[in-house]
Amino acid sequence: MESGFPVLSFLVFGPVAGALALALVPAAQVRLQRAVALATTLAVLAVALQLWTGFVPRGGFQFEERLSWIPAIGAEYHLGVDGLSLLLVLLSALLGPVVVLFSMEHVRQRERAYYAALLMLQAGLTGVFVALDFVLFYIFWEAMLIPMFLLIGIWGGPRRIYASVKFFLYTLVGSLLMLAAAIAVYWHHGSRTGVYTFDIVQLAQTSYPGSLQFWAFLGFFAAFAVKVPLVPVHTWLPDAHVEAPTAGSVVLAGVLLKMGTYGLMRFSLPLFPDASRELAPFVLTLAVIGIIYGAVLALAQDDLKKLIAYSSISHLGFVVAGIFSFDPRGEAGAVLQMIGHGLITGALFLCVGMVYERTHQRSIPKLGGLAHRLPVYATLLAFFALASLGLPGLAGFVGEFLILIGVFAASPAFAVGTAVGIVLGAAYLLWMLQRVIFGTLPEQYAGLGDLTALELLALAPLVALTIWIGVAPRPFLAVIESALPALLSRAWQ
Amino acid sequence: MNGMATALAPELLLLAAALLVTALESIWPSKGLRLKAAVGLAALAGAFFLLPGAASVAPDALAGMWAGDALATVFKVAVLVAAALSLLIAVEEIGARSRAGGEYVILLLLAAVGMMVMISGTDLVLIFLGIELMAVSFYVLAGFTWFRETSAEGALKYVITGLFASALLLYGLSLVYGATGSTSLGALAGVGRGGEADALVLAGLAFLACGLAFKMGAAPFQMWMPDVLEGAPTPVAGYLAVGPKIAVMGVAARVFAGGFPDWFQLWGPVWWSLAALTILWGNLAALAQESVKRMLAYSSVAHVGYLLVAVVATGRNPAATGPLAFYLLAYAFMNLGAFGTLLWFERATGAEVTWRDLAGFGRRRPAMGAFFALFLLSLAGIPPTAGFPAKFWIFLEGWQAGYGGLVLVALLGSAIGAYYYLRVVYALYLLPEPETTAEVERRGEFSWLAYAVVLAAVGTLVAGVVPSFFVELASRAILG
Repeated sequence: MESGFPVLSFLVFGPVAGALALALVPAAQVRLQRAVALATTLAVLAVALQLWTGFVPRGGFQFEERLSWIPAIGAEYHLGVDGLSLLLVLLSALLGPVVVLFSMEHVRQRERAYYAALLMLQAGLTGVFVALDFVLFYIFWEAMLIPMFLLIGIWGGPRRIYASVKFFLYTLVGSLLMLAAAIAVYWHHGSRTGVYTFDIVQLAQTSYPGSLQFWAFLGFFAAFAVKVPLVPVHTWLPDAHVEAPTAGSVVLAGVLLKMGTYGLMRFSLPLFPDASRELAPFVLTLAVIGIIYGAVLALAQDDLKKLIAYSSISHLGFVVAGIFSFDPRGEAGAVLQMIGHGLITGALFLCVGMVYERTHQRSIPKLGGLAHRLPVYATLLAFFALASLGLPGLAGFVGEFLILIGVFAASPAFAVGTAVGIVLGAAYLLWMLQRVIFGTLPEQYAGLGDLTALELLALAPLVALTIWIGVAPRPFLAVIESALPALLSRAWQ
Repeated sequence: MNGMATALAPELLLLAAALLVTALESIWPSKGLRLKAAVGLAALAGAFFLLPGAASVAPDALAGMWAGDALATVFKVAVLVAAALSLLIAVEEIGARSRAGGEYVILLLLAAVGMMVMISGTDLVLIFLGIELMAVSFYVLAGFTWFRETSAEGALKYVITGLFASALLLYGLSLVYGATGSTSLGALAGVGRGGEADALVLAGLAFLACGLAFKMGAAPFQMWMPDVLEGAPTPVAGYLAVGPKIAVMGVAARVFAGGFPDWFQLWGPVWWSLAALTILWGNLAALAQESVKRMLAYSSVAHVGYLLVAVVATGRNPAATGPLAFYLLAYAFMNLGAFGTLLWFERATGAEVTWRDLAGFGRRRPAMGAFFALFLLSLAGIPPTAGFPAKFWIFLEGWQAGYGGLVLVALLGSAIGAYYYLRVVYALYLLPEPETTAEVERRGEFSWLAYAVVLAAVGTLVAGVVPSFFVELASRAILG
């Protein structure tokens, strides 16, 4: 595969090309628009699978592409994947066709622009995970905001404008602090080595003085904490999720939140190992607060979507705790949990969307007894809820278990807090299941139909992968573990 | 003599074109506006191609009063881009609003000549002459639609404050001359070198700084700018928001970094504080505006602040003129594009536009809506548009020069800025359309304007996605 074909550029710019192609399709040709969107995402998925088969689990970056870009400041067009980014690229490639399939069934408003925004979003997300130059990374990081802003703002719920603006501004303020920190790192690296570069790999090979590490860590952390989201900068997330259209929520929970945890692993730990260790108790505290706080709020929700949104805050807290455990098992678990959460929560948002499209209702007390009319749906919802609460044999378990071991090795006190989150997770998810799929079916829902073929098709790969990772996580862990030493060697010392 | 003619060729060409249009104007008054505009555009294009030749012979021309260094060449490119775009934007609007039109072309060209003289002048008197030529042309342009009350009022304000600024400049200039016996920047640099700071020179520099701050619209000397820009016809406002900034920033870099490099510890803090104040003031005031034009006017104050970050950095690192030049080029594209699209929306709605008035416009007019969104995102500094590398490079230089605090202020300002630019974008796309959509249908009529907007959009995107060409060009903008 490492021939001349620019695989990574294709993964990033293929969706852009698809979006441009959509602009050429006449507005009335809705079927053609859907076909273009689906074909683009499938092509991206096919190439991403090629990437996966061609990837060798060893250290270092593969499939690198490097071009001169802005020589005056030392910025390059530099792409590459290692074990960390590979899985995230695969995840976003997989969710592409999944959300398009769902949308083909349910979205009926301004479809051309809708699919174009989805594709641009995918391009930006993939770019974030494969960029190895900070300027390039930052461009994708910011550019991704615009399609998400439009997706929430145009196709979202009643308070969509408030939610989209809040989302945009929170993220932007965080990223500006990251930009300042990156500038500081750039100059320090340049003055120390004489090489002025934004190359992430090179920047990570220099050691930075303590005070710079401290402030730069906080600058980057501001951006990543918003994206994760960690308490107290999490408040944009429930709003964004509740108002976003289903596909937006799926991408948001599935991939977008991982930008934050990815950034922590790609930048914070390798570049600022001392500051990371020094500030680890602070970050772990925030993570555990997030785990428990998210779970408690999820318990209190009546809105199905909000419940899953808060559960995301809780689950991402696990990932952050794993990352800052500085334990190999915790780190590997964190990455696996990113993937698992992407699949499971993505699927849960799809399930919420499916019930909402049928009943126009997300309020848990007003649902109930869905198992009577929609047995397939109820089975799948239960499947993903059990996966989410960490049932052994499913994807959620492996990640959470490894994280728990890692955090326990680092600090039993924090592990206790983390474990409380697992118990609470079981509580809100099972209680949700009981209220939604069991009990009596409200009369007005007597005529509901079960899942359609397209909907099943959208969920099927998520089911398969959830089981695969749960039963045989070895191939995934091998990929992840190949990346860890290079990223974390300095933080582990 | 021949060398002098070559060194001044671009300016002479523009002057000749202005004279030609004057002649045309006397032959066919109130007719042939498109022809006159075409003459102007051709002259601007011609001047562009004459620039490299002029630079090669400049040093000895005009008895050392004229710099043809790379800084001058690159800044003049930005002036020419701004002049050409604003001419394209203006033609139909001026033709529709005013009986005349030829004068507009003449004044626009003369203003460009004034700015180019400012950029190349290495003698304080010559710089002052350039400033006045530019300012007088703009006084008239700002009142071009004199029959509108706001326009007349804006022009009057501009004249009065402009004259005040000129008086400050002259006073500063005379103090410097009185203390040193010279007005040549080359000689002044020798005076400043290593010597004691002379109180008279310092006072003179302070007045010069105030005068320049006035002309560029830096806080707290910015109060004329929103009123004047709001009153001026929209195409003039675009030109006025961009052109003088290019020229005055060039002068500031040349006079302070070029003329008094050794006194940086004295003038650095002055510009430093002006930059911080301008960024905060401009952004906070823009936040409070309902009118899109006023918002753009205040935002242009904020951009002066970002530009000043680079000016300050030139004191420690002369190469910071590169980011300055890049920002000005990017600014010419994105801001004139924004004013051009705003003009289009003004024509469509028939009045001054508040951001609420733009509700749903992005859906009704997808192309213009997308262009406007592009320019606004670029002004906000969001990738992949020109505004991002422009801001980024300036922040980078500012940080290296040791002004981390100032860069943080600028970042904060950018965050505030994102909010008010975004508000327009979300009105365009996210707000529902109003029930009554009385709309003036003018398809095809505004073709020149459309060209200008498309050109500006291409510039904004190219400089954003593959900035290396522009960066290369701007990197050459070094004080000779």
